[in-house]
Amino acid sequence: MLRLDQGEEWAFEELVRRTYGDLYGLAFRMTGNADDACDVVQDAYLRAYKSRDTFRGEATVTTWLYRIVANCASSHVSRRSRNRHQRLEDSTPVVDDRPSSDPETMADVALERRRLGAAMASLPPRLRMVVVLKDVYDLPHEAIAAELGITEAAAKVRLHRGRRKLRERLYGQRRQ
Amino acid sequence: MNRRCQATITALAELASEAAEVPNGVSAHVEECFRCRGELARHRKLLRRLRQLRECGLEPPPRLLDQLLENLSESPETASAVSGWWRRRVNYLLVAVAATGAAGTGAVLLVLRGRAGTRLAG
Repeated sequence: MLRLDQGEEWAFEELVRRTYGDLYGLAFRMTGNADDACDVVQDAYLRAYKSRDTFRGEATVTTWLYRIVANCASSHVSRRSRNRHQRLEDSTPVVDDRPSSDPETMADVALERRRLGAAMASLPPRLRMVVVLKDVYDLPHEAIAAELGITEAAAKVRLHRGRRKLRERLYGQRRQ
Repeated sequence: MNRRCQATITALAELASEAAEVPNGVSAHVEECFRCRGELARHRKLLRRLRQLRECGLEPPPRLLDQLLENLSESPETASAVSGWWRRRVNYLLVAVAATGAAGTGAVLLVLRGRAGTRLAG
């Protein structure tokens, strides 16, 4: 167990080593861009270290870090859209290259994941972020709302819309 | 699609994720409505696949860890927290410099010995 709460600073480097891959995955899925994801992870560790006293051990270290990444990614995406005044890069596909023993099954799984990744990437960032945090990383609505700076009701609405759009893109629209 | 189905659509996502706040009657309607049962199956499939995404890690750029530790070691607030990494990096560089020096010296000695051998043979 990493004992950040007791000021054992050696633990921080170990924390970075153990979690950076996972945090990068979350940051990438939220921002849809590898460079931005690296920046977000960097910011997140700086923020985590500065606010390490706020970690009370009620959640796991990973959940605590997920919340920090969510907050950093949200700020990063807002800043980017303000500065560039252009459409965010929503078309970056999420690629998963994990090996598998069965090539045929792996091909189907990889194809499905690519389709899902592309559908996720095509969502507007504000919807995508909520879907990623809730449905992929299982953060509670309360935490999502707090880190994105929105109300819980807004988080639920965005989740509903995001899921609906994803379903439509993956399976087509439901016939009326 | 009847009115009951329309009212059910918004609740299906909650039902799929097995959240507690499913309105009364929704489960019962889904049980008897073929169309809504199909819709629920799609919801569940989507959620299952989204949850699986977390387990399939995205490969971070190969130099990310080094860059993170380097940047953290350069920041005054976090430098002490990653000082171990910095010391190891310095030690690594010193060893690399020493090894290069030793290899260079060895090469020079070999060349000199080779020349001396050539002269003696001549």
